[in-house]
Formats: sequence, C-alpha cells, structure tokens
Amino acid sequence: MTATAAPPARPDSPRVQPMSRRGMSRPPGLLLVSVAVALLLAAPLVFLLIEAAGAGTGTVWQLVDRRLTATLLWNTIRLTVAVTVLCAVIGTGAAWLVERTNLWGRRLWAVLIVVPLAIPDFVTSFGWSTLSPDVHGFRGAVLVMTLAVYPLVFLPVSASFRNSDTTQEEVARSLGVGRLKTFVVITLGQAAVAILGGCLLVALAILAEYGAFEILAYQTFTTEIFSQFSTSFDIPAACGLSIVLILLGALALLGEASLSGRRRVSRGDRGSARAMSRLQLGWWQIPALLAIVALVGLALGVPVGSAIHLWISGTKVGLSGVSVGAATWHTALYGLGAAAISTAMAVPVAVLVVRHDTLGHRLLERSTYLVMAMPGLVVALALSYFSERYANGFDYQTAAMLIAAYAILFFPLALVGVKASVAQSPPQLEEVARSLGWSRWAVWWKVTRPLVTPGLTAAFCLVFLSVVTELTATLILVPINVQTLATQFWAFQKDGSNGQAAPYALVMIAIAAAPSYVLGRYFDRLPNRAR
Amino acid sequence: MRHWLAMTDLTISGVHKAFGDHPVLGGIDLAVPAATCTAILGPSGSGKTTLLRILAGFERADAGEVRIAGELVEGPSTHMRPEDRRIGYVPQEGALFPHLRVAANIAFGLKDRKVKKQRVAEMLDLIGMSDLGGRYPHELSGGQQQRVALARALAARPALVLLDEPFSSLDAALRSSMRMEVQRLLRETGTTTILVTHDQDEALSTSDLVAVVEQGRIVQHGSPLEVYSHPATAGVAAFVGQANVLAGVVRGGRVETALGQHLLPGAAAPSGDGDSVSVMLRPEQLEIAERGGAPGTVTAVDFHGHDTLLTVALEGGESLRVRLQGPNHLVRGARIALTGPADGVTVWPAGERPSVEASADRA
Repeated sequence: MTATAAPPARPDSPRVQPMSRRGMSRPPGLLLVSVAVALLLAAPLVFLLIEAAGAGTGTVWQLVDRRLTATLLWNTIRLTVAVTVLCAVIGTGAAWLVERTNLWGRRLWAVLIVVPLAIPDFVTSFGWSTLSPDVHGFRGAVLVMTLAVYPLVFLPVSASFRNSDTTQEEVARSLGVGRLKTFVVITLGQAAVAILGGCLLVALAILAEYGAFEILAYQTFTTEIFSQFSTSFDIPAACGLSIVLILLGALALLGEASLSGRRRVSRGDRGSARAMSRLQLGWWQIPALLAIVALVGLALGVPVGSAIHLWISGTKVGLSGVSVGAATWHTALYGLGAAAISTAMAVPVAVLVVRHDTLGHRLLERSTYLVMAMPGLVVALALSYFSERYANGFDYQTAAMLIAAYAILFFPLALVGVKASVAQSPPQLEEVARSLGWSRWAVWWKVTRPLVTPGLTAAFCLVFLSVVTELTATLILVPINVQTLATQFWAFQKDGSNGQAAPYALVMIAIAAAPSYVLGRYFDRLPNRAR
Repeated sequence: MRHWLAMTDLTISGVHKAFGDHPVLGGIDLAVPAATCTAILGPSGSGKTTLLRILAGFERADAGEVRIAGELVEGPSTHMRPEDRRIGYVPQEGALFPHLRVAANIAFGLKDRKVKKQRVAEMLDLIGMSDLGGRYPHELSGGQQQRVALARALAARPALVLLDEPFSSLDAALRSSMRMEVQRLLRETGTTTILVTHDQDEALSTSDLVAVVEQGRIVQHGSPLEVYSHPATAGVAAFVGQANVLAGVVRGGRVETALGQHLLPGAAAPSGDGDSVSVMLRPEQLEIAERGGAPGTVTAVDFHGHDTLLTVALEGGESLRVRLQGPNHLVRGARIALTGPADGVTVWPAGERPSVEASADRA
C-alpha cells in the first residue's frame, strides 16, 4: 500500500545528447562545401577507374595477371610486413625507454629519435647506399625503411605512454600479476591502439615509397608503375597496377580499423596530474643507452653524416642544374600554396564532424581517409591522365596541377590538425561570448580565432613539411624548366653526382627538422578528445 | 552595492520546443519576479536546459513568448540576438575563455574602456580573488573558475542571470560553500536569477521560488517550503525529498490512515466523507509513539550523524521511512510503534503514487 516515492522515469541524459541537437544549427552550405571537398579527394580514384574501364577490364586484367605482378606482390608484401614488425618493436621499445624508465638523457633522446622523420626516405636510402654498396635489395630496403619510418610508431606510442593511466598497472601488480605479464597485458594493451595506428602509417609509407627503392634497386609496385609510366608509357598497365596498389592500401586501412576498433581503451581519472613512477633501470642503463645511441646513430647519423661528407668532399662541378636558392624558392612556393589549400579544405569537414556529429557526417569524413591509401605516384598519374584526356594537357605539368596533387595527397594530415583545433574551441565558449554582448563576427575574432590558430598553424606546417620532402608526385607533375629541392637532388643523384646532390638533401632536412619537433610537442599537449 | 540594476522581471508564456519529432518543452508558463532567484528543478532530460537556452537566445522557441522587463525578446516573429539580451550566462563547468587571463575574462563583456579597469577590480574584490587577476583559467581550482565565470556574467550588470547547473562539477563540501557565496553575491547585487539544477538541496536552499519541471512541463511553482511541504504530485514529492505515501479515507474534515487521524489541509481538493485518498508524509513528520500508534519492525537503520533514517515495516505490510534527530539506539529487528502528525500532511486523489521499483535510485 505504501511506497517510498521516486521521480518519474528519466529519459536520456542531456550530457549524451548529440551536439547537433543542442549546439547551434548547422550553417547552410557547410554540408555542400564538405561534399565538394570529399568529391575532389575522390577524383583521382575516379579518373583511375575511368581510365581502366576505357582500356577494357579484360586488357587491364591481362596486364595485372602476370608473373611480374606476383613478383611485385611478393616483394611489396614481404617488405611491408618485415618493416612494419621491426618498426613496431623498435618504436614501442624506444618509446617505453624514454617515457617509462629513468634512462639517462631521455629528454634529448626523445627529440633525436623523432628527427629522422624529417629526413626524406630517399635521402636516408642515398646516405646508406653511398656508404656501402652492400646496402641494396630486400635486406637493404628493410634496413633503410625501418630506420626512416620507425618514428611513425614512436610518436603515437610515446604520447600514449605519457598520457595513459599508470594506476591500472599498480592495480594489476596488487592483484598478484608479475612485472612482465603486467607489461604485456596492461602497458602494451593500453598502447595497442597507438601501436596499430603507427603500424598503419608505416605500411602506407612503404606502399607509397618510390625514391628509396629506386636507389636500392628493389622492385615494388610503386617502382614498376613509375617505370611503366615514364619509360614504357604503358598507361593501361600503370593503371591496373595502381588499382592493385590502392587495394593493398585499403586493406591496411581496414585491417587497422577492425583491429583497433575493438581495443578502445577507457581510462579513469585524468584530471589529477600525478607524477608517474618510472622504472629504475639500474645496471640496465648501459645496454639501454647503447641501444638508443645505436638507433640514433644509424637513423640520424648515417644519412646526415654521409650527406655532409659528400657535400664537403664530393665533386661540385659537372652537371648543370638550378641553384639551391632557386630550388628552395619553388619548393617553398608550392609548399605554401598546398598547405593553405589543404588546411582550408579541411575546415568545413572538421567543423561538420566535430560540431555536428551525426552518422552521415562521420561517414563523409571517413570517406576522405581513402586518400591515405593512395600513394603520391597514383594521385599524380590520375591527375595527369585526366588533364591529357579531358583538358588537352592544359594543366599537366603546371604549378596549379602540382599544388592540387599535394593538397589532395596531404589532406588527411591537415584534417588531423584542423579537427584538433576545432575541438579546442567548443561552441559553448562562443555562446557565452555572444551573451556577453558581442556579435557573431566579434566573437569569431576575439574567441574562436585565437583558439583555433595554433591547430591550424600545426596543420599548415605539417602539409608544408610533407611537400618539402615529397619526391614521387613532384617528379611527374613538376612544371617544365622548374626544379624543386627534391627533383634537383634526384637529378644529380641519378647521374652519380653525389657531391652536387648533397646540399639539396641537407637543405630539405634543415627545413623539415626543427618545426617537426615543435609539431610533435603541439599534438602532445592536446587533450585526448582532440586526437 | 545594492541597486546596480534596474529591477527586472521575466515572463515566459506558452513556450514550446521540439527537436525533430522529439518534444522537449510542452508549453512553459513562468513568471519570475524582479531581484529574486527562481530554481528550475527537474530530472535530467526534463527540458530545463533547453528552456535556459531559449531564454539566452541560443535556441529559438517553436511557439510562445519570452519577455524580459516587459520587452519581447522571443516570440513568433521576434528573435532578439543573444548579444542584445543583456543576459549573464554561466554554463556548467564555467566555460572560461582559456586563452584569456582572469581579469580579461571578467572584462570580456565590458565595452566601455573607461570603466573597465575599475569594474574588473570591483568584481575581483567581490569574489575575493583580487590577487588572482593575472592567472589563466587552468591555473585556478574548480571553485575559483566558477566564481570567475559568475563575475564575468555579472560584470556588465545584466538584466538577468542564468545559471546552468553551476555547482555540479564541484565536490560536496565546496558545493555548499559556493552555493552560499553565490546566493550572497546575487542578493547583494539584486540580480534576477534563474538557476537550473537537478539537485533538490541546491534548489531548496539557494532560491526564493522553485519551478519543478517534468517532461517539458512545469508541474509546480512555489516557494521552497510549499514545494517541499505540499508537493503537487508524487513525482514532485519524490524529487524534492523522501516521501511516504499511505492510503487514507476522508472523515469529517480529517483523513484517517494507518498512523491515525490528520487534519485535512485546506489546500487539498474538496473531498467528501468516505472518499479514498493518498496521503504523503515526509520521514521527519513520523514519530515513535510512546503509547499506541501503529506497530512495526525496524528493517534498516541508516545513520547519518545529524540524523538517522529508519525503514520500518508496519504490521499491515507498508514500509515507511522515519527520520529521527541525532543518533539513537534502535537496531534492526526492534519492535516499535509509529504515529503521524495531527496536521501538515499532503493529500492527493487516491492512486497518486509513484512506482515502487523506481524508488531504489533515490536515497
């Protein structure tokens, strides 16, 4: 008969209501612009499929279904697997030493371990091959690529170690689990998503690489497509192989998504900043230090050292080419243009997915990830076919075409930074600012702009740096009579004028190295929701 | 310090709002007198935050009107922009501008350069943070951030201040001291205030008037005392405290329950002799009888220090909550007898009773 009264059933809590219901309504045109961006990004793939269809699926299949393809597939896949596994081990190990132990000089190592990312892979390859003629073929490719791309694993994993919750490890130990098992199950378990993410980037980098393998005389899909295009002018064959290459990239993307999707880590209390207890290495300092010194020496010392050595001792006369100044000027010009366009294209997509998070908008954003599976070579080929066929070659090898290719190619990089920056400026702050008496434009200037500027700058720099070190697409699309740092380096290197090539390599490294450290630190400081 | 502001009242009439085909507000009518604090109390998802956002101008109402000091700010063909409404808005978690120092945050809504410096100093003094104007928001504690957010909202002398669960991110001890401080600030400045909350303690202790919202409608509007002592529905009764609901029968101006006879309140709907009704009693209205009373067994003892909450199963099968002052020596299984008060009970039509299973998550 009696009851202790209770409130009526509670419908969904307002905290979990999607932003689109509570935030400001979506500005008209935002979706339209975002769809246009997604279509532009899909354009290379569409051109490629049209080209393949034009040649006839039968012809393309014949070209693909050859012994050569099987060899290329074997070469590409075994290299990708070997390098990815090595990078996962080296990158994770180095990250653990730097972030979770009392390794001597860990702050310095944290910087030096990342710097090789700023060295173009083809420069690393050049450095090693001039050092020793034995560095070639499969073993050479594994060595060079591992040393060139392991920071792609180190960066996300060290950030994950830095931000993850060490109380889980303490709980595991208190439950009677040993040190080693705790490390494997808890520490690596928490970093698993970061490790997988890094491995994906490594795999995609290897699928896309051209210059390094050309120097090492190791044949992969990318080198074969390049020679089909530039030497034999066999467009249908290049097309067919490109499609296989994109499928491999898409496979890597899907694999990462399905593996990491099940492993999202929930974490406890993130508010209190607590000093993390570091493992005391004791006598293990010495072997740990030796390992790190060896890694930095091989990955950073060898390429930079041999470039400096060649620059000083190599022949400086011989072939004619553009000056370092002229090459730097053009490189910077293209880089600035592409960075501005990529960043601008990322803004509507980022606003749509961060501020108006619906399933449709998320799918739209995810569709742009497909660009990650498209190597620069393929994007460049697709754009050049298109211009030859439909624009009478008008745009082929013009600056506009090259900048468009860069903008498409590095869009995913720009999107990461822009999404982070949009998340830095929640709509709530704009609402408060409005209610304090400022108009929409004043609020943009006084609140939104200062909050998003660092992230937009980071996105801009990221694209700029990538353009500076890009070789493959540049070789195909660079305007006639123009040389960038990468193409001029390549021309000298190809003719064996190593002494002349070296200064171009050093300028590329110098431009890319310092800011990439700053960028790494920027992404590190972002709160987790932004990643 | 007093009379900073022109006294402002707020009138809301017939406000409706739906998101897609999901109705959120189903006709809200509310009058808020000048220089008072009205709490809008309701469970999560009842639409109270949406109402606040309509008042601030961040959402448009589908129908209805909002007037501030008689001026129409929201209507079928009117939508005053948020920046023109002179409303101080304090969202959950404060939402301080992270790139601006405390002083610049407070000065954000001040457009007159001449008074800016002095006004910021005044506000810093008011919130007791005079020496912290140069800090960045992330260098402040949660309570300090919340005080700065309030100072920022009050600095430009708004016509109306809206507080959206302003204390929910603070821990219990800090919450009650912040509540008192905010109350002091708002009283001192004579500000008309709307406080949205799902915390009944906060609503009852901080505000002059309470409007209880359930599923997009205001089910009761009155002083905290009225809402607590004479809740309009079982839902309101449960939301503002613990409630015992007993069956009763009306006889000659009194109502009879298992606990005895109680005076029929004048406010109750007219009931004739012999009518069955539901009777609501707060746990503190029950007492242990020295003689007589309804016999029962203590089934649970929750000791809270300042009081003790007993759960007592009557022989008739009803389970009642009884609040006793301070500690006592009763233990589980003790046999006692209960009586109810002679007057001050709340009477509803028979059958007005919340579901039993939902009672588990109160307490």
